Amino acid sequence: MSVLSGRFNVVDVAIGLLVVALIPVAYVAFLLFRTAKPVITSVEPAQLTYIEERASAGTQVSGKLKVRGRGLQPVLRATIDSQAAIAFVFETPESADVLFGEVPEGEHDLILYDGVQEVARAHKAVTIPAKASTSPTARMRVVGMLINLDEPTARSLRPGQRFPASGRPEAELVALGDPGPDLRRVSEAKGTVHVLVDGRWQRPAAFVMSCDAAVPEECRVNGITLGFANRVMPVPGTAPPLTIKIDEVVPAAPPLMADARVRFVAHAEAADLLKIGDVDEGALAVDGRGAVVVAIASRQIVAGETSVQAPVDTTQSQALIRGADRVALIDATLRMGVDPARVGFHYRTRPIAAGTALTFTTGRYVIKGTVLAVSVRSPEPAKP
Amino acid sequence: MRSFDGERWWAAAMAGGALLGVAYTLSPLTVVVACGAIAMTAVAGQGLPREERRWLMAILGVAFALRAAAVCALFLLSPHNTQGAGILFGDESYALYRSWRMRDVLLGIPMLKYDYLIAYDVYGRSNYLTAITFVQTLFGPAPYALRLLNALMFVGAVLLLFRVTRRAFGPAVAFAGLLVLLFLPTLFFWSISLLKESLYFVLTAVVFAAAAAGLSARSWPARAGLAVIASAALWALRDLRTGAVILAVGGIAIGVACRWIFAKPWRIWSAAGAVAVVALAVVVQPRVQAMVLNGLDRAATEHTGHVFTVGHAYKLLDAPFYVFPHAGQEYSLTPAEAARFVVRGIASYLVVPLPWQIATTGELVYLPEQVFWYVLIVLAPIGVVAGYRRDPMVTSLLVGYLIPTAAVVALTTGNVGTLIRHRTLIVPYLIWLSAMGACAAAVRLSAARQKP
Repeated sequence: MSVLSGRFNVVDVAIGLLVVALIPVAYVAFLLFRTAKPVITSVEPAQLTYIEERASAGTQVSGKLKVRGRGLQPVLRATIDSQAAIAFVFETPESADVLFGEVPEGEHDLILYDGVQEVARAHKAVTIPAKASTSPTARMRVVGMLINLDEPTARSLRPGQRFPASGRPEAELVALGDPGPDLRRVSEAKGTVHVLVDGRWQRPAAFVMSCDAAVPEECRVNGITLGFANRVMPVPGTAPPLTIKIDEVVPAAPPLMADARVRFVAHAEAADLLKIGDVDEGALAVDGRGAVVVAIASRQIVAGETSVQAPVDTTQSQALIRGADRVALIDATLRMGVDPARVGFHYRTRPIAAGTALTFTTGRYVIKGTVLAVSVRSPEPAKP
Repeated sequence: MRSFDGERWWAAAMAGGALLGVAYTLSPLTVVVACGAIAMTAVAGQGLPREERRWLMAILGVAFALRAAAVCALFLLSPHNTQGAGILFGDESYALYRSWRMRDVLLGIPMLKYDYLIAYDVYGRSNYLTAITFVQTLFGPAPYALRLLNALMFVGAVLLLFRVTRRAFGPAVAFAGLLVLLFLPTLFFWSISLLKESLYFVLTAVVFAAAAAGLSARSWPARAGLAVIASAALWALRDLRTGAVILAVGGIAIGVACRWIFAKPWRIWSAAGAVAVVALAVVVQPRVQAMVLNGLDRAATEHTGHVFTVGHAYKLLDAPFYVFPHAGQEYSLTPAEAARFVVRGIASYLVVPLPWQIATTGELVYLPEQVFWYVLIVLAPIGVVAGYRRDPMVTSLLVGYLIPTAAVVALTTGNVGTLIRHRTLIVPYLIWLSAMGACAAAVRLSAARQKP
């Protein structure tokens, strides 16, 4: 091996040159690849909108923070103290939103993580005021079926019970139906079937609950949105928890009693089905709102027309088959509980006024009609 | 031990090794893609004459170098942090960030509820997301190297079509098409984007090349092998775009049918008769007519969905249908309205946006390519005739591949930007016919000039 000088051979020189060459390479690489550390410059509360609903996917969003700073990145993880936020929604390297759920009142740190590494922290940047001052609340009546009860519990329930029994009540039992076997609905591909749950009981009930009305068009109890039929939720304040399958949600105040004159139309053969005393069971009739037939003014059989949907496949337009028929016109008076609405009144969840449609459902028949007149009988609230 | 005396290569080898190590440390995926590009360039010219091979390697070298330069420029101009990505198109950020969230799930990195929601969202789920998640799980987050990987896939797809069309139409047409596909600006930026377009293109190109080779192969094992390859590509295509498999299989079927029909004069007459019978059935048979009209009603719904959104819209239905803007509206077109809808759809597909309809800066920038599109459209019919004389099967398959995609896009789009984006899907197949047309026209003109 040749020697270039007395003490260094070519390999030594090459290594030296390589080291020298690597210094600018390393410097340029450092400039290009160094990570600008995210910095939070401000954290401000922001207005919640409907759009946050998607990001929360059913979880209660208690608030939104507008985070401004430098070097913010698309996939960061935010926590408020040690509690994970619901979402960190990146907008630009200078701006992002943080959505969070229930956080105790007081001052908290906002911390950003890249994976598991903390990259930014804003000390005492999140202030959660006392709940009463921030969350607008409303009271609603939740009507549904208490399910999965044992027999003693099913029989021990009484209207007027408050939950919890002592302290600030979170729910009040205002109406009860009769207990019965726990008949559950099970969905399958073509529809639903009902099955009996061995040894368990159910009972129609109506509760008045306080709910959080912070989000427009929703009212939530413990983060669960009321207003979805068939939603199953624990009744707040109950221990062990009672489980209710929501049938409908109506205002907390007892309804006003109203009489509605309705003209029902049915096949002639069904004219006699409607009877005085029949109750509309379109929703559980435990809260005094369910319409009751109190008078039948006339039953007429007249010439009319019947339409049925023609069987079609996906390649055909929808079509009706019509034929001349005899139809029954039944003028009846219904007594029902109605609730004041922004315009007029609502029967359960639908507006009711002269001209609106009304469907009357019982276990024996379903009949449709048109409301001819409504008179609210008394300004006094009806008893539940 | 071997002596280094008198050897000069070792210095370069050491420096190269060190640089490779540095490069691999900085971006391992880039090194893997570079190796792939070198291998692709070496393989692409196999079997070609020496001169063509030299040209092909030079073109590929320039194509790869330009793409690498563009990605490098994007890297230099973007924020340098662990998640900087130099986003070119809005949809890129969605795909990239979602893949990072999916990777975090795989690696057990803590995330927020919203991150899980995005990662598992049914909307937008595709094999492309799975692929880039897998790659980034292996190599780490690599937004820029992913662009290079997409560019490699795009160039690979172009090379597949180049080899098919070179055998079918000769080197002039193949090289003309190759140059356009590699350097047309829109396709250039598509190729380095983080969108699914490169994967879609390479999969459809694999199906096309496998079909073209399989239909001309003489041995059954070769055909079976190609069928397996095509099936695998179709499987990967299934969720990349709505109806992707139907469009690809339909395209091949139409191509094979065209080849079969145009092979014998009596078949042409029979096919013409069949078309006439179908047309008559549409006119006189209410069931058939309802079926066709229902399909067009659904297309009209899709079309107005595009019209009633933000952006530069164009209209295909009669004016009264646009009086009350409403997305998802259902229509029941009369036969006359449906006919006008179809005619306007085809015409708009070919000419929109006309130069005097340009409304945005983006469309103005696109204008030269729009003019080029007109040239492609004019030359394509000449290319179909000339190409069919050279290789009827490949020509038929190219035509077959164009028709379903063009028909669907023509009747369902109502937004200029969307039209341009979706119309570009057929350019990689149209270009060879247009290039064939250009060559045939040039030969004809040259011959006419040489006549005394």
